[in-house]
Amino acid sequence: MNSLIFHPGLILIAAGLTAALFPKSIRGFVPVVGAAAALVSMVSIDYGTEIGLSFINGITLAVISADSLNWVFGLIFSMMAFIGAVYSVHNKSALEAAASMIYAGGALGVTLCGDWMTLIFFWELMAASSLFLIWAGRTEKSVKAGIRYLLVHMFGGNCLLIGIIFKVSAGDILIQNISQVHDAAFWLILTGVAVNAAIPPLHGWLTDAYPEGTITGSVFLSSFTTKVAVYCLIRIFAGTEFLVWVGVVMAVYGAVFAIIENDMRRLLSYHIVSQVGFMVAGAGIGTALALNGAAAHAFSHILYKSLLFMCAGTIMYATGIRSINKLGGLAKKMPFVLVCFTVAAFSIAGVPLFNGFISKSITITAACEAGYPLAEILLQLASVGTFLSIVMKMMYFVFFGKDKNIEVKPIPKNMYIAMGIGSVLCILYGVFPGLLYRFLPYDFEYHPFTWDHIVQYVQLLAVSAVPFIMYIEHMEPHSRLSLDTDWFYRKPFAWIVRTVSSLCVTVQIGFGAFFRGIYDGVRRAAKNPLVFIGEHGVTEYKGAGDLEKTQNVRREDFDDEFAGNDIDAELAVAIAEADKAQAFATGETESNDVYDPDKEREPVGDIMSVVVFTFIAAAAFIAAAVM
Amino acid sequence: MMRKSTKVKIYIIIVAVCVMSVIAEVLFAHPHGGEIWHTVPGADIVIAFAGGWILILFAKKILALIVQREENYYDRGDKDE
Amino acid sequence: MRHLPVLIPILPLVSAMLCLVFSKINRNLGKYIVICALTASLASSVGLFVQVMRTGESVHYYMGGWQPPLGIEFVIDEMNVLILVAIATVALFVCIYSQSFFSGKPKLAESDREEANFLDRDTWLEKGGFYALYALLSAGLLGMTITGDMFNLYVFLEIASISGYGLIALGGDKSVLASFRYLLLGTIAASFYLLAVAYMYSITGTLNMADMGMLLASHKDSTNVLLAVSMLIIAFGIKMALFPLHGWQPDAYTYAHPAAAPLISGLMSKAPALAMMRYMFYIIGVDSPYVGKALTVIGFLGACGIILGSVMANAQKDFRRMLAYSSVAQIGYIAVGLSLGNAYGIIAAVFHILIHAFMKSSLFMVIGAVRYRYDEVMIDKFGGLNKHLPLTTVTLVIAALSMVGIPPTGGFFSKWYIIMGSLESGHYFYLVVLIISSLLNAVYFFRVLETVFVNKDAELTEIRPAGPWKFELPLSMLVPIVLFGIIIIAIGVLNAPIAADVLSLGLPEVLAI
Repeated sequence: MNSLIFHPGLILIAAGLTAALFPKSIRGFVPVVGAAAALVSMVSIDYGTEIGLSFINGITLAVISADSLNWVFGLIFSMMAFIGAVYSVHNKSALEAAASMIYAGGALGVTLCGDWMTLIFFWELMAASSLFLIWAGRTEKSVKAGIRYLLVHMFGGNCLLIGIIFKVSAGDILIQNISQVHDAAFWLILTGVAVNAAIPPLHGWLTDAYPEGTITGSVFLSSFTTKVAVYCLIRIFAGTEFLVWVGVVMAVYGAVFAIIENDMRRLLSYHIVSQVGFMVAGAGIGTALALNGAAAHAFSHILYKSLLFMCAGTIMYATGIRSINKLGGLAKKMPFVLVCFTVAAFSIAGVPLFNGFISKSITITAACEAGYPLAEILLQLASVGTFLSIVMKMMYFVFFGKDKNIEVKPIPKNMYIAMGIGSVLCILYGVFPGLLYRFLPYDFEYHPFTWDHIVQYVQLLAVSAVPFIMYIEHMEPHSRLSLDTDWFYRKPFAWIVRTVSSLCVTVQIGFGAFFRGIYDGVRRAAKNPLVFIGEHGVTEYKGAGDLEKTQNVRREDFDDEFAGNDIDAELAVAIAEADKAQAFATGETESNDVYDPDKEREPVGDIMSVVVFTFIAAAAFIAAAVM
Repeated sequence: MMRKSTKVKIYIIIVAVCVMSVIAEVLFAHPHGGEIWHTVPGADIVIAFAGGWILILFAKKILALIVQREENYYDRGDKDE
Repeated sequence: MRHLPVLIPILPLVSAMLCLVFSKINRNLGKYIVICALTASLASSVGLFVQVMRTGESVHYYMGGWQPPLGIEFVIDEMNVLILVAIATVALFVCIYSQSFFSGKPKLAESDREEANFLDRDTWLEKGGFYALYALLSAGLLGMTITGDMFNLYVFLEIASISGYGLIALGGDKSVLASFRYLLLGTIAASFYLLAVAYMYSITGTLNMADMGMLLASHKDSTNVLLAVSMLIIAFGIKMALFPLHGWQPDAYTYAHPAAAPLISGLMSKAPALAMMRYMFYIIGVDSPYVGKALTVIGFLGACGIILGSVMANAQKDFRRMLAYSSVAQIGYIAVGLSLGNAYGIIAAVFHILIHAFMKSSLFMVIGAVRYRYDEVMIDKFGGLNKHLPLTTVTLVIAALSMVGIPPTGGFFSKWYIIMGSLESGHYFYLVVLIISSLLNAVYFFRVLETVFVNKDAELTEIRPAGPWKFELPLSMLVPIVLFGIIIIAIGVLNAPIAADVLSLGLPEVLAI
């Protein structure tokens, strides 16, 4: 392959953009064709291909720089794009087709590139397109979740950008391992990658936004952002020691939160955090075995996590329910989904003969060999938690358990086909690990099917079921929301925005009123200079705008109507005042949320305030310049 | 939930699996680590049982109390964002 | 060909005067004269661009053959030639765009927005008057960019300003009030400018910019320079809407006539920014201590403006007002770029002037198109716009992505240069401001995009008909909109030659370290 036109990422992006042009009936097939083409193109890239593009200041961008590490990631991303496209054939939305393909294309772009600037370009492209994939849910919740997602990812993207600019201005154009020197660029790039990898405490966006995406969109979402970040961690931060502990904490964190979670896809999102923790720990350990483990784990994880999301999506499509405690007894009604779910659940837990086993055990063994025994124990604990929450909790309460007589809609064929492909692949790699191992980047020797590995896992997983069954009555999840680190920017942020905006509005109204008051006073004095010495409220002057509302009702107003009849006049005054007070209290005041200057505002006071304010500012300037 | 009989059946299967695996471990396995849990046969059973128990207790009793709120917690208060 | 420089402002000026007269004869004649004059200006500026690039030295033109320092000269060097071409392009295409607003065709439906009473009838006075003012504004902007004489700058500044006030006042609704406020502040600004020129004249005795630059070399720290610098900041700050002197801008941009708003919003604040750059770096020079302090002040205020503009833009429901506040933020970027003082900073500022002119103009052309067809300006009514105005939405997306700063549009590169500049000069504070503002920019622009693409169709009533052959707009509106979208991407893609081959050659001799 010798031309950029066949860049698999660009093929996917082109497929996404053109999907809108096709009529609705065949629109779903365009991504499938595009993904197949991208897969073919990806497979045809050899190790060591370098294709560049010239840029400013004589820099050449290495748009494709393929070696064994990014080849395997590129392979799984292309495969995933294909499976996801098959799963989405029934989806007629052009927006989703375009967004998901551009997203997958961006992921391939980041994976295959060799220099920082192409990386940041495709990185931002991924963030923007996945944002639309979340917004495609078209509910109020998904809109808000999308905006939070946008904010978090723009923050991460900007940190990454500035770190990259540090690097580029220092002369390092090509991506390389920077774990040796912990300078500002290191921390900035790490923060940017950590946001995408959902490392706590920066993981709130994942559990917040992924459940709100569409059924087909979440399948794509779960596969790309975090794994691209894992690839970057392996490439750039391999061997950074504190990542080991970060990864271990992540793994346990995700598993623990998943045990109490009720929403199906949110539970799976916590599992993404947990499994990525394994990969982060692997990247942190840095030995060849560990890095291979992280890469293999990413490969397997994409397959089984997407299968899990596909099953959850199918259940949601068929029943319309997303909470575990409202489901139950689906085993008879959706047997195929049960089979696929079992395959995926066993894979994620690491049961031998499924593909989770062949990859998880590499990481755990690497931890043991590199001298992190505590990490190894904790990772095994996380595996126990995974088994508990997915294999036991989710499978039992969704498929078995009390039958709630839920109605099941028929499911499109393409979803079955996609899930079938996923399951076959999971089992295939589980039984023939060599198919994966031959593509792993670093040389290693590993035999997963040794007795001690098998025995270890069988014991671990079989016994994990016991506490669950002991407490099975208590294990059903409640309909509750778990607060997570996203609480920090959801509650306080809204409060801050409200307070600051009301402050701003108050200041501006205050200024306007102040200067209007001055202006009115000047006008009054100009008309009749004696007014300030004479009676208050001498009649001729009618105050501007709002002043009138707050003035007291005056007895003189009613002199014409009740000539000479004091008692009635008093009564009328009292009634009018009461009316005014009530009108003021109930409806007239405007909400302060948004400064809408088109509402009542005395024009001249407004102009004067701006002019006088400008003079004050000018004086401040001169003072500042003099100082 | 599950009937007592189902539970008992599952327990029996698990015990059988454990016994077989311990036998297999003693006979065939060649562990390659130095720490205690690699060498003692059946160590993983203890890890899994204790670990699972601790995890469930921690999650249900401690974490749930701290972290869980009702479902529309975020939607109650704010009119915008 | 020697006279190209003078033709550039003079032709629109003359056409403005002829426009009214000829409009009495035939309503459209004045309009065509203006368009021809602007085309000639564009052709001349392109010719000058080619000449400057080929010979590598700046073009000096002496008016009437009088030599400086007594005569008035026009100077076109690498720094302003590209801006000149940009101004001429925007002026011409917005003029073409504006034709449909005065078509006088019967409307499909009366809108119930009683404020939407901008000028749109077919009478000779309305048409001729509008185009005369428009030509005057273009002449003023073009002249301000290339003049080499300080008082001449004042003349062109006032020509541009006064015609700008007029064009804003034609917009209906509260436009007269907005224009009046701008008038007050703009006149204050012009007065401050004149005072500054007077102070500088009093110690050097010359009004020619290059000459002044040489003669001021010995007076770098006199009080006159101090006062002049302070007044220049105020004058140009008001004119370019630098925080906190921006109070006139939101209302002015919101209520301007929709046909003239692209030109006003895109360019009226940029030419003064260019002039400020000329003064600070070329005439007075950064080695004067007062300029150093002034640049710090400008940078700080620019940063405040960035944050304030982005925050206020988030709160707006009217698209035009949101764009106006976003302009405050964008001018903040230019101010930050200038305050950095190094090569990257100045290149960033000028590049941003260039790209922002096209971005803002295209956004106002988009909202003008929506107002033309549906008489709607509120953001939450934009649902499903991509089905009704597909090509316009494409430009909206491109311009929005450029404002946020996503490659390969030009907006990304101006941010890139600012970041490089602040890294080089060690001002990390601006980096933080840039991050925060990118976040805020992203929110309000993506909110618009989300409303357009994801919300339900807003079912707006058509006020005026669509264009011929099933195009969504009359071709005279559609072509400029699409063209500007392409230009935004082109500037982004070509940013390397622009920065390296054009702007770098025109940098001032003394740069802040």
